Amino acid sequence: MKNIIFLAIETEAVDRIKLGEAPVVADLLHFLEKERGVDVAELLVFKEDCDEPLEHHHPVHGHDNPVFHAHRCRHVDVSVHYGAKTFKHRFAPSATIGKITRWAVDEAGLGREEAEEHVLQVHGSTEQPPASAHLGSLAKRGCEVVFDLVRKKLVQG
Amino acid sequence: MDALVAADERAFHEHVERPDFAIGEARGRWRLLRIAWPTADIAVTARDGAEWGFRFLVDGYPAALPNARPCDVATGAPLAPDAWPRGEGRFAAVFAPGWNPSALYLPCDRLALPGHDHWHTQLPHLLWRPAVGIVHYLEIIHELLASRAHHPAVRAAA
Repeated sequence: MKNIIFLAIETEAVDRIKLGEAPVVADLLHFLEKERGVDVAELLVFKEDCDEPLEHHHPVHGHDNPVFHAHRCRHVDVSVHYGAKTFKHRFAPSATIGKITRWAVDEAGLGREEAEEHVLQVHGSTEQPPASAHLGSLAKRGCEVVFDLVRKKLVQG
Repeated sequence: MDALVAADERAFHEHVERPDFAIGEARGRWRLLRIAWPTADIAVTARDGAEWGFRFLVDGYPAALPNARPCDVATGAPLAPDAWPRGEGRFAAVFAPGWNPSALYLPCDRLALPGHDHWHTQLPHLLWRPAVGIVHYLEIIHELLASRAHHPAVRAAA
């Protein structure tokens, strides 16, 4: 029986991958190398929003949320500018923007309603990645990403 | 798909079969209801678990901006203005049938963008992104329906 998982490799879009019965991380890496031509030598596989990479013998089937991220960075250093303050923390590449936003608004001391009115924007750009995006997809230059915590704008004429 | 299917319809079908759309469905954020080209009805889940239907007009996809309006989940019929989802602040600005009962007031909507050139500089993150496609519009709608700016109780009392 085929097992279907979703995997994003570094900055590439998430992909649907069919693996054989009872696949483990080693099977996934073998598939990526043989079928997709990916250099897997330094590639680490993370489950979404989990902090540590999975061991090669770890199953990739049987997960309620079969979404994974593969990255060469074990951690991504995150900096968030909010007004005159800057918060720093280290996340796994598989951390979702939703998770990082919850940390950032907490660091900023925002109440629940105020927190919901703020969003992470990639520093020096207008990009506001969705809550489901993986941090690793934004680590385009090394293992770090810088954000601004900004207020969501009202659509008005 | 049929070889004679036009490029825009083919592209739309490809997008709703992509992993990003499937993950959103698996997480219960949205659900494809039906496609009757050039329209597609998609339900988006609000923070109270209620589903709100949206009829998207997607001819010219993905190059052309879509248009979306709230619709009945079961039939796809347009919702009367007083049956639209309610809210305040950012939510009320977008769900504004008093402005136009046939569109959401968003930069990614083909009926809303004309005449709002300043949105290109003020709200670039809400502009239509052909490469991301329908998931971009759905992410925006879902974020609003999942926010506290949306007032689910209004619908329940209606």
